[in-house]
Amino acid sequence: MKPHRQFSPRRFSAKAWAALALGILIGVFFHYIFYRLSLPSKPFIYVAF
Amino acid sequence: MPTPDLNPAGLDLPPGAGRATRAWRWLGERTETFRSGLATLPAWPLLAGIVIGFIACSVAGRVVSREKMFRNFSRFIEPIQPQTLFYPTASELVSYVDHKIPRDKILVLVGGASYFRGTGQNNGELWTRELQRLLGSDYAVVNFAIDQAGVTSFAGVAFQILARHYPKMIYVSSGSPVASDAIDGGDVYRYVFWDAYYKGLLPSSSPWGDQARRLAQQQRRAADTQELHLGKWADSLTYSCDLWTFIGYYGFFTVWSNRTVYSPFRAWRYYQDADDPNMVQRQQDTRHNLEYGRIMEERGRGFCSSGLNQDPTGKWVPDQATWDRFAKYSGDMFPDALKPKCLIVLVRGNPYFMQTFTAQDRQNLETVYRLGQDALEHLGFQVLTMGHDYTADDFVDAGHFMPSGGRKLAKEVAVHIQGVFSPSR
Repeated sequence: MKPHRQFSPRRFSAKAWAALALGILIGVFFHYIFYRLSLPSKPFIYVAF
Repeated sequence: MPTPDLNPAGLDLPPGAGRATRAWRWLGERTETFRSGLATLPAWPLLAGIVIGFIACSVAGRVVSREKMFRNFSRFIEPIQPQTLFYPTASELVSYVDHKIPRDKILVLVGGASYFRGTGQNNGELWTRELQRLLGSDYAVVNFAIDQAGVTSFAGVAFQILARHYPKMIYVSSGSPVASDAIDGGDVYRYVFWDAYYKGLLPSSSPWGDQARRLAQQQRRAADTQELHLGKWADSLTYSCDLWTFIGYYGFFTVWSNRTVYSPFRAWRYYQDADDPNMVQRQQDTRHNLEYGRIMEERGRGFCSSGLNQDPTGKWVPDQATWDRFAKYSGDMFPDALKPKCLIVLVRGNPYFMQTFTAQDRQNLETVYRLGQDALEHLGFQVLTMGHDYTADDFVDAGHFMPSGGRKLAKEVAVHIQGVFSPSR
């Protein structure tokens, strides 16, 4: 059984900032995924005749 | 001698556990710690962070779409073409010109395919450099021609947008006397057109605008183009292609390509237009390649009778249905107001690969070029058919120009432009 921890405003604030930072990274990643999804699965092959 | 600690992390390991087992167990415990830590993170700040991060990137994409893209640009080289999964957006093409060329210049935007991109010419020998020299400082030449592009592809989209920014402008593109291009530029480069369309950059006046809208509706229902439209619509909100293409050009590229195996993350701005010292050798190699010669001759002879039929007397006459179709589709390429600003150059092939042509073939070829030029001029386009003074030495292969051929082309184009688009008008 885990020991009971008292609520700490400083710890909550730190976790909120950590969550925000992680969320921003995830948001940036989602934006990047939009770009990657726009690329074709096969590149255009140019053949000079 | 002290006994080495075989379990410095203090993991609960079975007796005789090997290094791999210890490493795997350690990783598992760290992952569990991370997961339990993650589970305690508050949800609302996490969600807010996702939204903030995404919106910030979208705003950044809009900002960089107006920045000047491309450094030391003279033409599109392979590393900054779709062949290496680098897809410049319509916004990036336009912003480059907006930053580079003053509005009081007569903008000469060069488009079309590899003939006009300068395949066969090294950077210092580019025909567009010669064109700029011949036209003088009242004009500003920008070469946006790109491999396998048509009149409406790629640069053709930039033309339609830039025509509203530059009061005096001409678009010069390679073209064919018998084949027109789709309103959206066709397979490879239609992404540029729809990028511009969904961002609201293209002219919308009828009837051309109505045709574009009908095509959009049609392609949104088709399985092979639906995804492109969805993606470009989403991109008009997120500007993700603008942002990450910009980062790929200036910072680091994140898309692996088999042409960049040894430097997969290198920023594209570091790639230079490398000179090929063996162009003359390449010219000789194509001449000595018998299979290549046979294919080019055969293709050329077939081209001679494009749009022509033999009547019962054996005389070659135009096939009216073909020319009606050509006129219809060519008329749809651009809005009517832009056609007089578009100079289509009907390119000819290398005479070295026409040695088996008969006199009738050559006569038919002239007829095809004349009919094509007439049809395009009737629609309002400026048209220039390449002259007959090009020799085999002016070509590196069946169609691409050596520097000497590029100089002849530049001279013909410059004379036409100065005659029609003079600074004093």
